Amino acid sequence: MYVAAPLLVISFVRPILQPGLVEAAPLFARARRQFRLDMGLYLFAALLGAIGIHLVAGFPFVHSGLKLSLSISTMGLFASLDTALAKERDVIAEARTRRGAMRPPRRMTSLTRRFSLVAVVIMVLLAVVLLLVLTRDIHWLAAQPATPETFETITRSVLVEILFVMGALLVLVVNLILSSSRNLKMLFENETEALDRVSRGDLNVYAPVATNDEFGYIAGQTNTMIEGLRDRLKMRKGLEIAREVQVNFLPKTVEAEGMQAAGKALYSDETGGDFFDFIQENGKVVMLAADVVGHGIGAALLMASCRAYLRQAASDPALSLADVAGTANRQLCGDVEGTGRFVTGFLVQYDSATGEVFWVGAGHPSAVLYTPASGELARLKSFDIPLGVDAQWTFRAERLGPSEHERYLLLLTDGVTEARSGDDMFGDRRLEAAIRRGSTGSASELVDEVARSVGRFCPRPDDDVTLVAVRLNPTL
Amino acid sequence: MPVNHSTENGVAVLSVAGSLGADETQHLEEAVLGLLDKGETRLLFDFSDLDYINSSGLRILVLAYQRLKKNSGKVAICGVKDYIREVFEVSGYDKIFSMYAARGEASKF
Repeated sequence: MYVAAPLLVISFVRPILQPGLVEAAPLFARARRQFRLDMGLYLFAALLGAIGIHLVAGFPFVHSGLKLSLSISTMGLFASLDTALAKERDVIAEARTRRGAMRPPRRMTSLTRRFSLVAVVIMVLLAVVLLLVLTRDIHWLAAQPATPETFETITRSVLVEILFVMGALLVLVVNLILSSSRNLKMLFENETEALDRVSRGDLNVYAPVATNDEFGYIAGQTNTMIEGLRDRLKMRKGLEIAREVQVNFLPKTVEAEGMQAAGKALYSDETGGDFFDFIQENGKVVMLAADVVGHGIGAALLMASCRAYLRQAASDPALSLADVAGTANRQLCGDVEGTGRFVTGFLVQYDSATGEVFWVGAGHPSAVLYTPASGELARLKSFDIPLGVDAQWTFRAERLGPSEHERYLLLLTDGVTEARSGDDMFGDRRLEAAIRRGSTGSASELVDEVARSVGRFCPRPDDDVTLVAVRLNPTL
Repeated sequence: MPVNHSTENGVAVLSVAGSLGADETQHLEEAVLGLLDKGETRLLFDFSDLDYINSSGLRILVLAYQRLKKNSGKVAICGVKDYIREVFEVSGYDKIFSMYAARGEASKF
């Protein structure tokens, strides 16, 4: 009666308080509020019971009242934990369906700390309850007449009582463990499901943030990560487009009386810093290979403007090759001065009227001149600094006189000789061997042979690989 | 890539150790910009402990060169290893930066 009446009272009060105190609270706070409400109600019931037993039955308040309160509170603790866990499950389910919180909670309450707190409180409570039961039994035993006949019945009834109390508490604890593992399972499933889908490439997922503990934090950070991946994907798409535009800039081959040329650029990144170009105007052909410092979108933009300046200057028949380099350099300096960005380049000009070849090396790896008839291999070394460094720099063009022999000239970027395979670099020796092998037919064949050779040595180069082959005096 | 800087006889000295590629230039760039903001006009890069440099690293030197040229400042480099000197030669930068073998020699530039 003293237990049932207060419980009846709180069972009437609870539905009145539930909507305002629990359901109206933010998602994160609901389970905690549920626990506080229920625990509060049970403590209130415990107090009511104690007062009732004191007033109505006249039992001592401290002794019997405390015992009654303790049993109602213990019951209340288990019941409140159970309802709170159930509430948490509702919240997890709701967070899954509703696209609610995605960010990690601002304030975190540690799950591990909550676990240890609950475990310690329950252990202490169990110890106190068992202690009370035992002391009561000892008192009762002391009051019993100790005869051999009654001994067995007394022992049995004490044992039965202890077993009953322990059994009941055990059932409550097991229920609590099962209930919280169900919640953990749900939280784990939310997270693993999201991660599974992300790893399969599906970025239209999110991990529901249902709790303000470590799980909520992990889920929130997972969402931040997914968003980052989505942004990255968008950027990749942009870079792919930039690369497409860039590749369309590159010519394939050029031919004039007494020469032919072909080029190839293999980009390591989405957009590379390398480019090559052929500009044919009034019987003169300018061929060039260039390397913009860096990679990515910045390098690609600089490449586009540098290419435009070089094209414009090379199309002007009044300009010598040295002037072409000088003019493009001044314009480029106007764009990049003070940033340190620069472009190295090797420019070759062929005059079909005279068969003369001029070249300018602007901080670029040397070109290789190969004469198959004599087997002679010569290096054309850069004399000047890169474009975009110093607007006042005067470039110097070197002349390569005409020859009756067929010759191959190969322009390249450092990505060719510096292509790596383990600790080894492609290097000059392999390059020269590839040039000798490839210099038997068209300029395209030479480019393909060297590119194949680099590709065999290093299938995925770190840097752009750019090649331009010029075949002079083609005999075939 | 540790960067240390000190001032010797009115020359700001930046010692760079390790590697100076695309991923490591940020430190040096910040250090150089900091010195330029402070109004330093003579920068000496001590590369005695530098093992690698590529065009991204060279960019920082060019940046210093371009900004100092306006205030008639200068950039010098000392202590480069032979294979790194080659990088400077191929890119033509030995023509615009004063290159010295040792720091003592360089402090007069």
